[in-house]
Amino acid sequence: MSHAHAPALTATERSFYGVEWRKLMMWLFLVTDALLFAGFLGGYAFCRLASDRPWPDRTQVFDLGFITVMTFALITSSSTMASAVLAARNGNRAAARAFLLATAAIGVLFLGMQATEWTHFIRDGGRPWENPWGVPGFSAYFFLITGFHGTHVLLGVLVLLLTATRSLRKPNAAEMVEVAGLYWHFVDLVWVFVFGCFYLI
Amino acid sequence: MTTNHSSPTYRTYWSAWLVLLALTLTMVYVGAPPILVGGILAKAGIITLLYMHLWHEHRPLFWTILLGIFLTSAVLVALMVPDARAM
Repeated sequence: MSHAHAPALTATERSFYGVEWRKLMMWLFLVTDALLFAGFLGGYAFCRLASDRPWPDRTQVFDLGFITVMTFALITSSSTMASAVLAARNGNRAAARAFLLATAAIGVLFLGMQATEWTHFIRDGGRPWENPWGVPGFSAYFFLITGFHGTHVLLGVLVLLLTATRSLRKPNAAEMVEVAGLYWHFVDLVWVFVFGCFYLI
Repeated sequence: MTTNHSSPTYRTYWSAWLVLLALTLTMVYVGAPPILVGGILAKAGIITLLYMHLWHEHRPLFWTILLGIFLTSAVLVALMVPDARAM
């Protein structure tokens, strides 16, 4: 061998993508999931651009201050998640567990706020097939997109709780926290687009 | 403790938190279309490149994911917007 003194590379370091297989699988899933949401938001944009009636005024339908607080909650949970990944990588399992549980708690807070928002929306007459604001597609896409995102948050909370209670005891704890973190950050990433495209534009 | 100089620290992550909060407030209270589009892209960039650590991954992974998503989104918008406007 010409590089007799170079340290032996692990299988992961030799691999094309240079990551553990669990992490690569999570990225693969996230790309497909991103395309799912891209399809939803694309359909929403098409419906809105092609609508022959004026699109409902978002400031009259939604409480934007409330939605902004929901956004703050999700952003904060992304920062606690990143801190959990860092703590797990440093081998500090107690801190990793605390950050994971804090992330899950903020996730539950977000879900509670979303349930409140849906309740107001439904009491005001919003249905998946009709609404009092003029364009049926508006409430159809509202339920479809925020519903799919909320389901992702709910699954994420379960993943975080499982990671905090089970994966942290295992030898590959750091990797498991990182994979769970990728999913959680992705849920926040989707909300950036939902918040921008649905509530602000 | 030996840490790579380029790896993010708690300080990096919580500074990014402040930037994300500031971007969100700017988007909500200013709300001009260029600020909204720029704000969405900046927030998405911070989350993927820093929080999801994509910036520090091997280049093949970095480019596969970035191009995979950006090219697909660009095609989606390029095909959709003119059609929707023509409806």
